[in-house]
Amino acid sequence: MSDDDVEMAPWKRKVKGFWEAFKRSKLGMTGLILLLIFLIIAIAAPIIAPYPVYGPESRVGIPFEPPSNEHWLGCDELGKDIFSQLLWGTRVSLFVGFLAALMATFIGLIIGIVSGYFGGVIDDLLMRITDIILVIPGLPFMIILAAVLGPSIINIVFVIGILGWTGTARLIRSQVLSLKERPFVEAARAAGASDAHIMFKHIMPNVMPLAFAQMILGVSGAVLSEAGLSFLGLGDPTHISWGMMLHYAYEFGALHIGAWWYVIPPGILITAVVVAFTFMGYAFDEILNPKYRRRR
Amino acid sequence: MAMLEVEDLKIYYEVIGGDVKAVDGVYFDLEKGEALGLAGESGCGKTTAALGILRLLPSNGRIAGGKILFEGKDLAKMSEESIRKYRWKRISIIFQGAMNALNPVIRVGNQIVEAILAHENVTEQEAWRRTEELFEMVGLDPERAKDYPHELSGGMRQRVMIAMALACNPDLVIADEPTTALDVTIQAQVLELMKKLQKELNLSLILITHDLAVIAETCNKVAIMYAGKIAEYADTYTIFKKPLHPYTRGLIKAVPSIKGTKEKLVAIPGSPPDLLYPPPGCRFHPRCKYAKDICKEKEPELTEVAPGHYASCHFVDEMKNIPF
Amino acid sequence: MGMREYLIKRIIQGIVTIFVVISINFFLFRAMPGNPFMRFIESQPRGKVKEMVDIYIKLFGLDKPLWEQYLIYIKNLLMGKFGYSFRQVGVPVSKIIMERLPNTLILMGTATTLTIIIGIAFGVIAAGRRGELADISTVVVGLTLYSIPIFWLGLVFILVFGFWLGWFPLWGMITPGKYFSNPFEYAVDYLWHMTMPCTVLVLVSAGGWALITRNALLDVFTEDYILTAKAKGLDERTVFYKHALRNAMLPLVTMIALSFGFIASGAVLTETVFSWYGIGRLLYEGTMQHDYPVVQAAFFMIAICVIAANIIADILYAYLDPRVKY
Repeated sequence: MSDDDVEMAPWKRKVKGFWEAFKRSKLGMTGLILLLIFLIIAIAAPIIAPYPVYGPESRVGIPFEPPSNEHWLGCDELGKDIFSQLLWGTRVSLFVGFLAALMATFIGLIIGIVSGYFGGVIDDLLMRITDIILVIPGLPFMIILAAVLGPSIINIVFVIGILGWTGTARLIRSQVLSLKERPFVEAARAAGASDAHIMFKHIMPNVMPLAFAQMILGVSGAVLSEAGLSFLGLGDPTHISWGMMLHYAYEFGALHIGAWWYVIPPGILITAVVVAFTFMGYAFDEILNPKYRRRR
Repeated sequence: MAMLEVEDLKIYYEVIGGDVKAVDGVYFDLEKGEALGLAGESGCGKTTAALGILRLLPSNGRIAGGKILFEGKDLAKMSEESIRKYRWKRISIIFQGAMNALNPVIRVGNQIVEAILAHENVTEQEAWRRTEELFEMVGLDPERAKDYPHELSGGMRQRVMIAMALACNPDLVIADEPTTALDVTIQAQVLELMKKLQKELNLSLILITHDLAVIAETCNKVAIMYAGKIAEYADTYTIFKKPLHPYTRGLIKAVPSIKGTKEKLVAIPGSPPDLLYPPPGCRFHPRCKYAKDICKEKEPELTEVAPGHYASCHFVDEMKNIPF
Repeated sequence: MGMREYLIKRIIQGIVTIFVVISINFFLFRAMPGNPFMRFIESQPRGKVKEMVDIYIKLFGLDKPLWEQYLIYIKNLLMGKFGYSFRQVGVPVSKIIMERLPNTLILMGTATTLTIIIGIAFGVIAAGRRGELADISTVVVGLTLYSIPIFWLGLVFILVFGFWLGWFPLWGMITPGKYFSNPFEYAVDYLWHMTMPCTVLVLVSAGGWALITRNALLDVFTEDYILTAKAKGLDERTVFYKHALRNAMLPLVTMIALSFGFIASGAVLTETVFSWYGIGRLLYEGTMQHDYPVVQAAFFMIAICVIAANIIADILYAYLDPRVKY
């Protein structure tokens, strides 16, 4: 350990150590690079997209036109440029994915900390609720909820986020159970700190890395759920998303005329975004899971 | 020739950033029927040395040098196939914390039967009969052989481990912290049992522990390990009455029951070194109150200071004059 | 805790969960702002389905206060009365469900069984060769397969093997208008239609299974009893199959239970893409057509299957792990 390591704040040293370990993971770095590429596409979509995608002026080609020099990936059933739509679709996927995972992680974090810290009846009750939500079939529930709430991006985020917190809650809870026996918690309690203070100032910072890893894994599930809901026609019709494109491709018979340029690219992009988060999540898990660490 | 001779044994673990030299030049030997204590703080390499003898190292560990001569044959260089014939049949091992050492989903009796059947040409009924005898020998109701590990208490599980270790009549038993996880009264019972069985069966025993009191009661000779090396090695009487190495002295002073109760207990200040980057010179020097410049530069050799008494310290002769 | 108490506890928990599902069904469709249920009924041209509306008001007590409707709803469900479809006017929902359920059970049962077998096999191979090519490719391929949207893989299969190569039918469960001289011919046609949806389901889920199996085994490898087994001089096969795999099965069974929700999601999407007339497709159709009684019943049935499968998995766990019984 070098001298400047010693002088760093503990959390800084932790982040540095984490980054050092993460850099060594080929899977993790592949995921990170993929994610950065998609982030750039999402931000730059209006600049790099060759054709407009919203409004009447977006009908720039012939319906179901195959790929050509003007339209690299052809056109959809309305004659809209598919390549441009793909670039724009990155925004919805990442937005919904991040926001839904953030919501789920936040709920899971709070429930996990409260449940683990207080124990007893509160813990019992919260964990029974978790057990019940855990077995409610995810997508079917999202479908009926989305159908009732109506199609909008925020509703999609809510529908995905409201179910996805159970795993995080359990994991955080078990971590908190061991943390609350640690001396620094005892010390804080002896010093007269309130429960809320201990939970959020002392315990929460220690479970944040785990929560962060869970969130990254959660994004991949949320992106898949958004794509599934949109494919079923429950997405926000005012925004272009990859799942929605596949919905229209399926509904308007792209399969029956062999319009591969309409069917294949959106799925590849969904897979790539999900792969980015899955790879990163897997790398985090390997770094943070003490069982793996012991094997090193 | 001694039954077991360990010469200059080196065991390294490969980790990110280099090799952890967990065992780095260890010597000891053992005659038939003798009991050797291997002592030191946790992380000094004693468990690694034990696993190394049976070649049970984790996948990132390797024997980097030295010899493990068992009846003249070098276990360190043997093929996986041949070493397997030595395991349990000739050398068995009792692990620390018997809870996890027993498979939770297999009845304890079956776990012993399995060991017998793996090495001996007997029927299953015969193996079961032997298992029941073993249970009686270690003071357990043979009926309990049909229990699962979680149905037994900690002390009973440790007795099962002992019975299992004796299942194939081995010549050498290695016991790694056999009593650490147990209550004090149970500890004494289990230790008593081990002493009795060792005498009755004329077993050779390597007892690995951080608890010197246990060694004083059980062993003929003692090897004190520090940071992967032997600090001092002698018969039990010499180690406890005339220790020379400052580390040995520190260890003994940290034990309440051995040197009378009136003396103040003194813990050794500091903590063992990081074996990925061990300190230069004598590995103990940062914690040694007698350390001089030479200790920081030159590594002391393990030298015979009296017949059968070895120590690795630059100032052994001076230490003789410092009363203990 | 005895096995009996354990079972009773699990079943009570299952009943509570079913109760929660029923409540979700009720409040989502009738207590939400705007009351989608009533809105639909009121929007119907009175002359055409007048009798239906009256039957509904009577059956569900729609003219009574909400809490009374809730009790009536629970009572009806417990008696198996799901009501009548809005779209297929006059057809009892229970009849539609019974027609669809076997198709889902056959497809999902086959796919799940194959998934678990294939996934575990690859996981065992990978764990046994940790760090080697077989292991690394299992991890990378497994993570990638897990990341593929199942409905898209279905579309690609239809495009490639259905449209271009013509090996398999594009959709449906039997060849329309075909005459079958015996049940065997019918079964062959059915299986032929099932091949693509089943393959897609297996491909997407088996990757995750392989990873879970691998990690469970690697976890078990670090346990002391594995060291004991090796120290006993047992050969590698015995250590692996008798000691490691049996213990690794325990987290796997828990994962099987947890994965049923995932399987249900896959069922809805796959059945929709391949026009496989099962419960999942029914849920989709019902949602699109605002056929709320059908949607409620389909969701209820899917939830019941998942809950039942969970209880079975838990019983299996208790059977495999002696520690649960006491």
